[in-house]
Amino acid sequence: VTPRARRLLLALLALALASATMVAAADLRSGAFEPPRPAPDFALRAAGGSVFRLSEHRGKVIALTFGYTRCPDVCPTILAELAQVRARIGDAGTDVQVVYVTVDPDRDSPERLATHVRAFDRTFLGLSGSTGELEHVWKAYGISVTRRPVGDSYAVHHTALIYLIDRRGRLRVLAPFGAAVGDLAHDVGALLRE
Amino acid sequence: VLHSSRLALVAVVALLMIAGARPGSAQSPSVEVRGAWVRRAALPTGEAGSMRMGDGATAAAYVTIHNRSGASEELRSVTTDVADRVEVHETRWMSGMAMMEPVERLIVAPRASVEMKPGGIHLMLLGLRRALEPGDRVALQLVFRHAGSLTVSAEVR
Repeated sequence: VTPRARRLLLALLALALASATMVAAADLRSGAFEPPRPAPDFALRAAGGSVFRLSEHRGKVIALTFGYTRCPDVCPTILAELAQVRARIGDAGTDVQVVYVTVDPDRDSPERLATHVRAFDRTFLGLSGSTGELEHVWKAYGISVTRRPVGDSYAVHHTALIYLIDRRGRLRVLAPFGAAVGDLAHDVGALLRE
Repeated sequence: VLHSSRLALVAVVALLMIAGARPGSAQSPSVEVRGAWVRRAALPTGEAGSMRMGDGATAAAYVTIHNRSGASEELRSVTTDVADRVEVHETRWMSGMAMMEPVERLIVAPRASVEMKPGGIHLMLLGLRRALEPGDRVALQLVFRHAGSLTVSAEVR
C-alpha cells in the first residue's frame, strides 16, 4: 500500500466514523449529548438497606430523574411518563432501569421513596442518602434544589429533567419536562439496540 | 319485562341528564367543569417521626373550568373525601427549574377557560387519606363565588 493510498484510506475511515456519529446523533429525538460523556458515578441508598451504585449497572439503559414524594404535579408526571415508556418498550423493558433520586432527603427515606415510585412501575428504584451525599449528585447532574416555605410545610423547587444513560455508562440524552413520551420511548429503544 | 326495561332506560337517561352526562364533568348555567382527573398516588410509609400512614402524602387533580357568563368567576374552595384539604397551586418554570407556588385567588375571566394541566395550574390534594389507584373515582366539590357548588367525579390515572 502506497503512502498516498494509505492517506486516502484513513480519510475514508475518518469520513465513515464521522457519518456514523452523525447517524447516531440524529437517531435520538430528545437533547443528545454529542459526544457522549461518562455519567458521573454515585452510590445512594435504596429500600431494604441496599446500596445502588450507578457504575455497577452497566449493561442496562438507565433513565435517571430527580424529585420528591410530596411533589404532586411535576414529579409524578415524569414517573407516569417513564412508566408509559417502559410499557411501550415491552419485553426489552427488563433492560431499562428507572432511577429516581430524591431532592428532599430530610423527608424521603428509601422506603417512602420505594412506595411512591412503585405505584407507577414495580421496577422503579427510589434513592436517598445524606444531604451531603445527595448535594454531590445534584451538582454532578446540574440539579438546582431550593426549599421554599408553603403554609406550615415546604416545597422543594428543583430542576426537572430526565437523563438517559446508555449500556456503557455514558450520558446520551437530556430530556426536559414535557418531552413527548413517544420521543422518550424512541430514544430508550435506540439505546437498547446499540 | 319490556315495559320495565324501558322504564329503567328512561330512568338511566334522566339520571345522566341530571348528573351532567359525561364523567369528569359537571355544569351550572354559568360554569362548566370538565376533563377532571387525578394522578395516582401511593400512601408512603417509612418516614422517621411519621404520625400515621400516608402522613404528608399528596396528589394532584386537574380540571378545566369554563366560565360561560359575562362576569368574572372565582373558584373559592375545593374539597374531597380523599384528602384533608385541597389548594390551588401553579408550577412555574425558570431555566428548567420547577417552582410550585400557591394560587391565592383563581379567577376565570368572562367567557374564558382555565385549563389545569401537568406542569401548570393544578389542584393539590394535601394529607391524602387513601391510596389512589388507576381506575378509581374521586369526587371533587368545587365551590364558585357565583355559580355555587359543583361536584365532579374525577378518574384516577
